[in-house]
Amino acid sequence: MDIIDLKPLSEWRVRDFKDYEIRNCHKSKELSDFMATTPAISVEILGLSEMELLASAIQLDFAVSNLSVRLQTYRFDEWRFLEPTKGIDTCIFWLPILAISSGGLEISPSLLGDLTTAINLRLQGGSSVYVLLPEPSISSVFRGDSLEESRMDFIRNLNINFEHSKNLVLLPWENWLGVKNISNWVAPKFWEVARMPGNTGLISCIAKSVASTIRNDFGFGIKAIAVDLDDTLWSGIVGDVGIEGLALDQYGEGRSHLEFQRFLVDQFRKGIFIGVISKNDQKMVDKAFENRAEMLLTKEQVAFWGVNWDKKSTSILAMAEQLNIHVSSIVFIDDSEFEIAEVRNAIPEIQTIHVSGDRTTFLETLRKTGIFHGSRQNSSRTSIGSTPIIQTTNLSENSYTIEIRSLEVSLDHLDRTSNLIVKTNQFNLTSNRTSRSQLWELAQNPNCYVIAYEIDENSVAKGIMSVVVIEKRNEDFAVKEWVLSCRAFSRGVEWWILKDFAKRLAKDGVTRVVFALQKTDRTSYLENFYKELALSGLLEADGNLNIHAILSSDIDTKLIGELNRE
Amino acid sequence: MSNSEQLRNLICEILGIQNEALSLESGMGDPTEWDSFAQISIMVAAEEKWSVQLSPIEIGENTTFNLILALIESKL
Repeated sequence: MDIIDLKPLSEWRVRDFKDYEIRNCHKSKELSDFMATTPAISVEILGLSEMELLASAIQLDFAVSNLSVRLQTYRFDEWRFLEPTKGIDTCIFWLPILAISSGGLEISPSLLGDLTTAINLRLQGGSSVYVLLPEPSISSVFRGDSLEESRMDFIRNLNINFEHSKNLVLLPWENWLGVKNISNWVAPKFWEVARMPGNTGLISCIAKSVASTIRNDFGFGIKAIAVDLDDTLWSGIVGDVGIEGLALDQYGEGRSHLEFQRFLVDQFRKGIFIGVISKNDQKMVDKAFENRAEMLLTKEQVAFWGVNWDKKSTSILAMAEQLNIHVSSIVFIDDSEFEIAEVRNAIPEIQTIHVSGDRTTFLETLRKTGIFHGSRQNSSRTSIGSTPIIQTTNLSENSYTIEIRSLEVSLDHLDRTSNLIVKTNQFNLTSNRTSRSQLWELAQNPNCYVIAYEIDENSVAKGIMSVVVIEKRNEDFAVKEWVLSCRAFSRGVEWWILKDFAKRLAKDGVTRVVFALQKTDRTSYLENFYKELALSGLLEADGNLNIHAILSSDIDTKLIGELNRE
Repeated sequence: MSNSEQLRNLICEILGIQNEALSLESGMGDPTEWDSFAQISIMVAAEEKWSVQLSPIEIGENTTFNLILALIESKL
């Protein structure tokens, strides 16, 4: 198989963005096939000269991931004339002219209100919005600097105005200035000549970081983390020091490891698979997880166990196969240079992070890679109290219970639901990959049903695991999207969901729904489900299982039968 | 090292190209690495290196190796 012949993004320089042409990207066929049905993400940018770099960075960042993007740029001062526009997935406001670069002359009492109106316009249209906040003043080192106070007031008020908005991300410059020497980035000449609020190096760094953040937030980032145990997840080698000898104390050597575990738990909650890849004895590892109360990462949060004496690359390939994800969407973290090299050599497409040096800065190192989910509050958990719970049920098997709730998709759910549609490959009925903005349009369309399903396992919230989109096409209703996370497989969840939306449609007088299964090399689980549907008499299928399903009036009885059978 | 050689080194470092790829007539657009952003970077770096002040108009108008060299030498 070909591999992507591109240098790491971190090594790209300003001119690379401008000269980059997609035809130079030697795409892997497998990857391009995999993403062939992914629609372009529509991005709107409002800024000044730095927009050019930001737009190029986004284009490059997406192209490296075999994704396409439609970009529309406006001069910053045009935001006052923004029109409600459909189909914009994300909108970026870069606010350079408010602070140091222009002497803060643009900060006026009406500015905050106008900007709030413009941001709300995009949020209400279903876009996610990123605001690059005004840069700090170089004179901020002097206490009481009026320009800096004015900037901080502005940011504080913006925070207050959008306190409850889940689809807005405020990006402070301090994110990047922390890694740069402030005297290097302030370049009045760049402002004078090109209206750029910093030197090209810093603007390029910000642009790359924002591009990567957006890609991750849209669910195109990594899907799994493969993590080593000894001296990575915990301090010490469990085979040598035993379970009790592992350092996991929060006041000493174990603190940075606990911090790392907290990071992994957060990633898990954002829908990332966690796999353990370790040359160890499984029984001993089990005991460490079970008996060391300090452990923050639990066994239940680990989706794959590669604990054996095989090469780590072998375990990672098994992980990719079991989770049915491409190896390029896995990041491998280990403290051993040897293991990192072995894995990179065997799996060139994989991303690796070597844990080395000062552990206290390890999380900062992870953040700077820009490959992890982090900026937006896009946890799969949703605020149950704020969403209408339409139906709930319990599927019980011995002591194991699943509770499912169906929710009308609101703006609060757009992140998770659109991510799920993008990420899901195995139980993805149509592979339509409806974009975020399209999903929001459909959710507002009276002729469409857009329903999300939220699941709790043994009273532990797992968040939204399934999305169904059904739209009216002429006289028929057709399933435009139906995705189900593989975490919910083989538990009867799909039957319950089918029953739920069928009942809802029946209540509205709909008796026939067209399913069109788009088979891929990853949809075997879904095809089996189709076969079972056909056997149950609920599906009118041709030989290819590829055409129609009819939800008859007796679906309830038949599905209850299927559920019992499950 | 002459001003010309120092300027050549500086420009090539910013553009990330070999010294041989730069002639006296080189400028914005040729080589392709020399774009508008590179132009600003070159002029700002030149300001620092020779401790001279360049106006935005001078930065915008002097866009070849020859012209920049002449501009800097006129200010020394």
